[in-house]
Amino acid sequence: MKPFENLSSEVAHVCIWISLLFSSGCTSEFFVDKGQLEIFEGVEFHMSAPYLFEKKAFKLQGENLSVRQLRVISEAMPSISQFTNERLGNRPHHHFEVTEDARIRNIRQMQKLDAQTFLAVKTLQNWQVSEDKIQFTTDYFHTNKAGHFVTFRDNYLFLKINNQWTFKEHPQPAPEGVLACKKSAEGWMVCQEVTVKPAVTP
Amino acid sequence: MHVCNIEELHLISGGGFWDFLKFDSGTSSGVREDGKSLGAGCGSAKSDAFVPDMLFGIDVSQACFQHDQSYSTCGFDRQLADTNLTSNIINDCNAQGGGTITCHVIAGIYGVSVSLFGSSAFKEAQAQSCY
Repeated sequence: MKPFENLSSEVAHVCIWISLLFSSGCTSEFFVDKGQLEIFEGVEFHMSAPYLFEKKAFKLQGENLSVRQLRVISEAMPSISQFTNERLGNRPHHHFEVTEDARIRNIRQMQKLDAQTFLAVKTLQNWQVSEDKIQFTTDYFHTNKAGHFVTFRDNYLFLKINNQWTFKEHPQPAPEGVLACKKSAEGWMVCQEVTVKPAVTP
Repeated sequence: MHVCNIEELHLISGGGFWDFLKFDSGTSSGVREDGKSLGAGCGSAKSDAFVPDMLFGIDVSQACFQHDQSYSTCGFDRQLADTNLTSNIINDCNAQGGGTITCHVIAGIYGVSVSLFGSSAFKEAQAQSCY
């Protein structure tokens, strides 16, 4: 009978949402994202412009990160979020030029995306962190010609050199590539690497 | 006569009816369940707990996150961003097994919401990204 018990709270939830939606006085307060200070395990993360949504894509919980490791990520967040924004290459108006770095794999080229296709970032995760080294993966996504989301994963290694966090190399010789996404039992879309099973020889 | 219990009904309907009742903001106790920062789905940091990332059992968080990023890309056309949101929700909803009416209702709700209330969010996001 759990669904019946949940129904009233679901209806209340929707009612609150709709009333908030239609109260014009609340709209600018509730729907404008000016960034915020978030605290995970006592470590401050400044979720603010520039690159606000690249910062919001950082998965910081459920990654088994210690306080020390979270501090390192917090310090590197501005550099990593700028780097991620440059990988997206969404420049309807060229207000700045990004110098191409031959060491960095080009997501648009690998995915054969034209300049008009909007490339977004979904999640930065799989953190491996030490005092002067951060390794992680980034999931990018775009809408393909059929109208479906395509999610693509690549891996990165950053080093702290002269107090600056900079891209060093791709820790893996190839990107993880296009992910397989399916609906979980809870109803969320979950994307995972496609593992190719080795052929069994008789 | 055999009377079906809830479990049997669930099996017959494939969970579809109960899935239809699923509304979820993707947050719990003030934090996002996916481990990301507040506002990394539908709604801003302040409204994340009130704006559903899942409506009628359909996960629309990815479409919302793309829409947010379109708004915060300097020079991106707002109307195009809003149109993309609607079409992305319809397509992603269909891919998740949503019915045609359900998908269009969800897309309509979010489409109308951003066209009515997205103006200030767009202006703020553009001001932050065009420097």
